[in-house]
Amino acid sequence: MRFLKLLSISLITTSYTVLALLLTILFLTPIVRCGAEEEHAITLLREVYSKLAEAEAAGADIRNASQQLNKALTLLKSIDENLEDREMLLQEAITIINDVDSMTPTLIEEGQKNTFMKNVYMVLTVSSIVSSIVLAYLLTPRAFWSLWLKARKQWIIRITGRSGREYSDRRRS
Amino acid sequence: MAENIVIDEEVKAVVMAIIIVAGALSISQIVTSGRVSEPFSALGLLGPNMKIGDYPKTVLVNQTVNLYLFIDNHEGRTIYYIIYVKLGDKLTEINENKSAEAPTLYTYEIILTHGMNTTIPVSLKFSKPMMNARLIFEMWIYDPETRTPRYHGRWNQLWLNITAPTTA
Repeated sequence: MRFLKLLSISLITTSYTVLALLLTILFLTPIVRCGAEEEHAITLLREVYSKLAEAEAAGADIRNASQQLNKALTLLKSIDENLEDREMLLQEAITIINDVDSMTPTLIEEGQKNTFMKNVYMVLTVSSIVSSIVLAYLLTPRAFWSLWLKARKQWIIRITGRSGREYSDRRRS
Repeated sequence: MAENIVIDEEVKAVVMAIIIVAGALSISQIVTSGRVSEPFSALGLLGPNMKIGDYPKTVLVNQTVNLYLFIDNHEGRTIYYIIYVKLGDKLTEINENKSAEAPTLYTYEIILTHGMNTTIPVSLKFSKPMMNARLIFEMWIYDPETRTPRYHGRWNQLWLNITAPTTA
């Protein structure tokens, strides 16, 4: 009889403990979930930033995309100050992050195109400079002296000196 | 007529030198254009008037301290900055290689493209009185390769005496 009484008491205590635990979990879950959602959004944002960094390394212009991410970051950080608008701010931030994420493949593609064109432009510029160097080396002295001669073709040369008759213009002889 | 012109060797050498120098300069300009030779990030702590100075020395517990953080990106790429505000004391060790082992009070995060800078308003409150408190601002960056935040070696500090409000 005593054993049964003890058993019932222990059963009641256990059930109250379990109930208390369940209630605690029930009350704490939304808070944990709120924090977890924000953490998840931050993790997502950082993942997208990593993709953008890759796109930038590939030559993409990510200024607009990073501004958008910054906006999302500001929204996420403002949640603590506007808890009543939490859901709206979180959703807006996640939408922006997803938009930027969907932009990333296009940005990478554009970046690769830009890098290719930049390399082509660089090779063309360097080769044109090298060609100008060679051409300038070959042509500049000739061009200079032919111009010099053209400019002075009307000149009359008068030979002066002590024995002027000994001097002559060898080029015209 | 031009073919018969005899060009002096000295003239040739001078022309060659000028051309080579000009060509080398042009090519180096093209190759190095758009590259950042000395990348750096800057972190500055400004007083309540958004200037260097007028920093608070003594604050009350739960009093709001308004400061500004200046962050400048010249790394040549877009950077995700994380600024940790930590509360240490005179024994807290920090240098450009080691971050402070002190409790983090606040965290600020911002993404800046190359050449961009920003000034963030910072509002701080302290819950406990403390003498010779060292308010440390550490610059960390989110590393897209390792996918973790990494200490960037830049930090600022502000010495404060946090006092309890006197009761009348």
